[in-house]
Amino acid sequence: MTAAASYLPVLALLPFVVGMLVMFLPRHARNGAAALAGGTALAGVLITALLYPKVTDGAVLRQTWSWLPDIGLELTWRLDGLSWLFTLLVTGIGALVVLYARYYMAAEDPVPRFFSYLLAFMGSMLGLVLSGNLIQLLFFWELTSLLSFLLIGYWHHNENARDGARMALTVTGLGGFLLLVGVLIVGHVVGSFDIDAVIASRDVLMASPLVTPAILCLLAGAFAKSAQFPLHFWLPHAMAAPTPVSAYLHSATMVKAGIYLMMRLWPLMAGNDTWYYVVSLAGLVTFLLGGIAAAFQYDLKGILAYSTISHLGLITLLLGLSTPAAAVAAIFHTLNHATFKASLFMAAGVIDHETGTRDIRRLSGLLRHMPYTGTLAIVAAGAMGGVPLLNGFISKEMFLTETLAFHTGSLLDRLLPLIATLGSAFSVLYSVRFIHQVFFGPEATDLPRKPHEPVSWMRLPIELLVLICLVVGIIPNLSVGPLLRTAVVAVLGPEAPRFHLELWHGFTPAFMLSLVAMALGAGLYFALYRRLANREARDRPWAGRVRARRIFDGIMDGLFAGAGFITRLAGTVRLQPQLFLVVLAAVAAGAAPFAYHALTQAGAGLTLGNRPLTPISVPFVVVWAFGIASAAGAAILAKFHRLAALILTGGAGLAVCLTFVWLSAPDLAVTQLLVEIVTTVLLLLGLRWLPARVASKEDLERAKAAVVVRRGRDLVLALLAGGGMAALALAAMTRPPTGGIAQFFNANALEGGGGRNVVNVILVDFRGFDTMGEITVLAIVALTVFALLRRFRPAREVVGSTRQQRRQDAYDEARADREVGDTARDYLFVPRVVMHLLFPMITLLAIHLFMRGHDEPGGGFAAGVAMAIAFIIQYMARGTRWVEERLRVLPLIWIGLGLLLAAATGLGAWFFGRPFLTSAHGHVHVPLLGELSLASATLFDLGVFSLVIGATVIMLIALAHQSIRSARSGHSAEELEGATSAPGPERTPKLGGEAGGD
Amino acid sequence: MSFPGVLDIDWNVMAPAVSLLITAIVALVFGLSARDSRGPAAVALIGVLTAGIFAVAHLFSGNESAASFGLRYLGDVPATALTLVILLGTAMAILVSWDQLERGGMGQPEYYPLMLLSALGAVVMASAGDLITLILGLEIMSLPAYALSAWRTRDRQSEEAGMKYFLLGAFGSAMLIYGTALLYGASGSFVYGAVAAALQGGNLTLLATAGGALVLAGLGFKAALAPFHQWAPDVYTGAPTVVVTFMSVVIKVGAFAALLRIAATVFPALQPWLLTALAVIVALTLVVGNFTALMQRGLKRMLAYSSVAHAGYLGLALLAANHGGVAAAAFYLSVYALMNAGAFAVLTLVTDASDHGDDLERFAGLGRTRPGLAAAMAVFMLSLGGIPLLGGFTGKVLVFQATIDAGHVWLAVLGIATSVVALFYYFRVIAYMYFRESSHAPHTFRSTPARVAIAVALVGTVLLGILPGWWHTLLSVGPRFLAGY
Repeated sequence: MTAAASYLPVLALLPFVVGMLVMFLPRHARNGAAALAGGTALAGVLITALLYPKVTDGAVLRQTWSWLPDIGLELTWRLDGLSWLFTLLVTGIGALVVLYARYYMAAEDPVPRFFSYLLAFMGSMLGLVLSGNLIQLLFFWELTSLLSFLLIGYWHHNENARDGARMALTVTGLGGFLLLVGVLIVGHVVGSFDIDAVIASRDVLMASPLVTPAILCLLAGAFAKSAQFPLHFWLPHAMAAPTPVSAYLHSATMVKAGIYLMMRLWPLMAGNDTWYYVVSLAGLVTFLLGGIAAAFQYDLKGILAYSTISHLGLITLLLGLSTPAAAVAAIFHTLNHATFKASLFMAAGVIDHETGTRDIRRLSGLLRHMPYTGTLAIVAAGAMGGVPLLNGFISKEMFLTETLAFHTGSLLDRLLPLIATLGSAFSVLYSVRFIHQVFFGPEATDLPRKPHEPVSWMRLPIELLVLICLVVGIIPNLSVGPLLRTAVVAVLGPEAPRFHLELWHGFTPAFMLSLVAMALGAGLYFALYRRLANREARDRPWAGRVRARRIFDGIMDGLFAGAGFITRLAGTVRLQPQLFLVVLAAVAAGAAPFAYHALTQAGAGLTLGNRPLTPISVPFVVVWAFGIASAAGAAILAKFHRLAALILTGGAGLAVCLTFVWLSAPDLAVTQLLVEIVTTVLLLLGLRWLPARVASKEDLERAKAAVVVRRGRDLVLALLAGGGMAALALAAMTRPPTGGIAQFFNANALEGGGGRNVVNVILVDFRGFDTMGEITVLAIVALTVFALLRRFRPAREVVGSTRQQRRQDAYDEARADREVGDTARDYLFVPRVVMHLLFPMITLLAIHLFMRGHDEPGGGFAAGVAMAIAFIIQYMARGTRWVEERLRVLPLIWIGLGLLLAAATGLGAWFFGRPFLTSAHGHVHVPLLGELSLASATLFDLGVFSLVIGATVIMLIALAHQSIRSARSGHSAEELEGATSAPGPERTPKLGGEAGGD
Repeated sequence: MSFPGVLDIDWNVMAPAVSLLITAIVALVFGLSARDSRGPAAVALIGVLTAGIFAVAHLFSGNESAASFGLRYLGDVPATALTLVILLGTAMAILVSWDQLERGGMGQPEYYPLMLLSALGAVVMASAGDLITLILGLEIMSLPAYALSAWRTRDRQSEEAGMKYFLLGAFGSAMLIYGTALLYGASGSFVYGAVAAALQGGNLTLLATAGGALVLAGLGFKAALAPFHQWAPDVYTGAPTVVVTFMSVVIKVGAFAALLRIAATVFPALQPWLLTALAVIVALTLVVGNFTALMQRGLKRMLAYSSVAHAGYLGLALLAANHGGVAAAAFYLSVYALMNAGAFAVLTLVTDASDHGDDLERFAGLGRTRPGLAAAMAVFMLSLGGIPLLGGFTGKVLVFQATIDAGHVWLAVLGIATSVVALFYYFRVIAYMYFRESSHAPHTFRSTPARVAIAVALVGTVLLGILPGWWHTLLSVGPRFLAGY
């Protein structure tokens, strides 16, 4: 059993492997490609035939591979009677199509590619019918859609082929996705994707409320694939495919995939009301409409396409009836349809090939030129029309019997036999038309080519298929009976009805209906003959009015229109609305919990906490009034007067700083003050390179009404956001702190960290690792700023001298005793000297701050910032070049040393067998300075110190170098362009080591 | 009073991040003396591989609950696996940048260190077990990314991209930080699990939900969930393609890694509407992303919106965090990293040195002029579209299955319906490559490292499509993950 089962994956995967090989054959290797493809298909037939004894009487072969075990998904290869029948169809007809295609395809086509696609399609189809699990089935299902796209679009220089391929893919792909939904729902309800397990859980599924959506989704997938109304319209357009493709995909295999799925799930779903109504109605409508449309086609392949739609509708209808006997008829007709339709497609291809046209109005009297092919086609068309002695007759009669036998007491009941007869009549009509107009009548005179018989190898597949039609039609029970029995048992289980296939049942009502249909069809044909033979008639007169194609195009247009609408609605490239939206979303996010609470009254509301509030003190209020006014002023002036805005920002910062002092946080106050100074100075330096102001107060006054509204809207939003944040903050802060850790730090700072300045001890000792991370971030920020500024190119109008410089230069030029630049050089001479002298003093201050840091306000960070101020002052006093000529320790080295020192201190602890960053501390008596507390954390702090200096100075350099660069590149914009586009080492500021410099 | 767990540093857990950090510094210093950017690229690649080796070693050590700093830095399976994905994305970005930087005149030595630092941030986010670590990671990740987006000097679009990304990103960060403060205020803790535990039955869910909503908005920003996605198309369009290759993968992984943990632990403890709001956001993202992508002619912008759409699919997994969504999302992210980086890698080889010329027309006839490149692109497009045999399909199935299991049937249907829309724009690329005649001079730029990256992406995409089991099984998480440890 298992040995046989291991052939199943081979069966499915072999075509893929050979397909890959064929792909690499040279472009003109027609014979080689065909031989490989044909060999593969024949091997498939052989394996299938050998496996037959293993699946009779409801036996199942299974082979399982682990795939996604966590969600219970396995690759299961499963073969039962039904799969076996389809496997035989796929491989058998595949072999014949390969032979046919070898002679059909022109030498100039890239034939290996064709066979490669065809093999891959065969593999997908085999994978589909051999899948033992729904997800796996879906997997191959989508693959067949994809490969059919490639096969239909094979002649991609032809626009019809492209369109047809696209449409087929869209519709079947859409169906595939719906099928995915259905499969996922079934899996969710049943808890497994395994087909056997799913079918065994029919009761669970039927009891679930999700059964209707599940069935609808599954059916949508099947209908799209099997061209059932209203998803049928892609099939006629797919006729732009090469004829072997049509013969294979659109008769025997791909369109049968949907039918296969419905048969597979028949035990699971049949009998359900949704299933019954949807399936039988869709089948009925398709059966009738397809037949009518086929009757009025002028393209040979068009007739066959609509006739396929009609016959698929017939099978679907039978499955929808949900009786076991109808299911038997459905399976039998699937087999018969595949044989006669494949042979007809091939015959149509021969006619096209030999005459150069497929237009039925131009073809006539072909029997004289190709008597042999003509006879074959006539026999096959007879099978399609349901003529006795041919296979189509038997299954057609079974179909009519079922429509008569079916009774639920509804109106449909009584109409069903009538509609079935009418549909059959149309099927006779187009069969007769196919035969009569093409092969009989006067000899055609204006054919593109002189018709003659094809090479006999091309005829061989047709001969074989027609032979099967005859054999099955004459001795059904002997030839196909056991096979059908095997398949039926697989679907219906052991209690499947015993059936006996027979040519002659006597004058049953079904036989009478069959006769009526034949007479009606032939009669209609001759009644409509004049119209049908009219060469000037428009394509598809009235049946063509059901133009799903238009609906499809309409939906497509609608889709794109909708997409355009959404794009316009949601996609703006302007920053302001984007920011507005983001702030709005934030406000909404903040407000939503309160709205929810107001609506549901669930849980406790939010009130202010019960923590006592600090009493209001007048000076503090004044400080904050000043601070808030400064902040608001800065926000307003930012657009109109940047310098003022910057100074006001400083004011707000000062208020914060005073608050820290007020609340007894000297450490924070010192740091804040120093940081405030550095940032203000750096920003001031940056201002120099921003373009002149972009808006004026007049703009504000002249604003249009719409602008005023917009600004008002922005203001409201800003107030909401700010007010909301304040309220939330107040609510949070008035609550007692939860399990604070401050006590721990206060108690352990001296003992555990050796310092009395708790803040500093926390920074460098308790939370040293955090600080380590933070300084790393600081280093990154500095480098980022540097990178950004280095690539920054100032606006043209600010390049060159400032107004003040120009005025001074003009003054110098006007005087004989002065050189140009003298005034600028001597500008603010006394302050400059003072600033110059400040350097050692600030250095001293920085050292002071650093040394006392562990016990009193100060520390590495404050000291570093102070030291950075010293550097900034030097830059301002003496200019960039002067400083840099003397700068010995370069910022990148400061940064690198800082990080290394901090990390080394941490690592140092390892040498003493302690965890990373454990500190040791002690007190040292140093002459002059007195008692100093020294902890290993001090080294760490030194790292912080160094890094802060480096980070600040590197940003400073980036700003300062703007002036050098633009001075070098001259004053005119043209020169600036030239200079910036010519990269050179002189533009790289001096950062660290010789290499980075000049 | 003891202070447990502060100093329990497990260096196995930290090793990938530390390797990245050290490499960034080495590459920075090395870059100062390097003649062109290829030296630092090699250094960076070695660093990423080292980090990768550490991560793989840790992943297969079976030590599931490894953590550092008292659960603040986790080394569990999702963290390590997503770290690997981030490293993979970074490695591919480095390979793609290898020749491209010099070609585009962007070979400044800081490029690779910044990229490594950004990746480091993403790794920290993926490993973060508490909100502070998360913020730290987010900032480390974002700041270099802002600079990288503006990497192409003298290009207005690139400068605008950097500026816009920074301005909007700052808002995102601010929301995250404020939300974190509120969550802390309500729960007294930063550690996810402790936050969730403290909120159970507490009376401060209101405050906490406001915090949670802001955290969602802030992270949704980085993840480009609508309506916080606005920056993505502009930045993707403006930034150099090599940088987008990096951003579209690494930043997305970082953001979703963090979102997954929070969605699994903190969100269920908040007011129930928050998950409904997330569902609405996800639905909006799916619709906006897919439909807007449909309208794009430029491939970069199309891929930008497609990345928004994929954020939507990942969002579905967030909603199903308790029903296998975590593993599904991690799997999806793995595939996404491969196929998206692959698509961008192809794009860099097709466009001009200036990144212009990403119009669909440029892809016309690529199937004839550059068959290998076109085939790779076709595979990436098919995988992004969710076609079988490729990883994208498996990822989608996992995500949809988790969504349905979590009871969001209609969201799954919407997701599948929008997947169909997505097929149109992915197929359009393929149609142009194979069905149109080329009207341009053939593309001649070739780069072996970029080819290696494409090959890696190709193999990965196919492998995860055909044999997804081993990786998915590895990604499955236990109840401890969902409880936040």
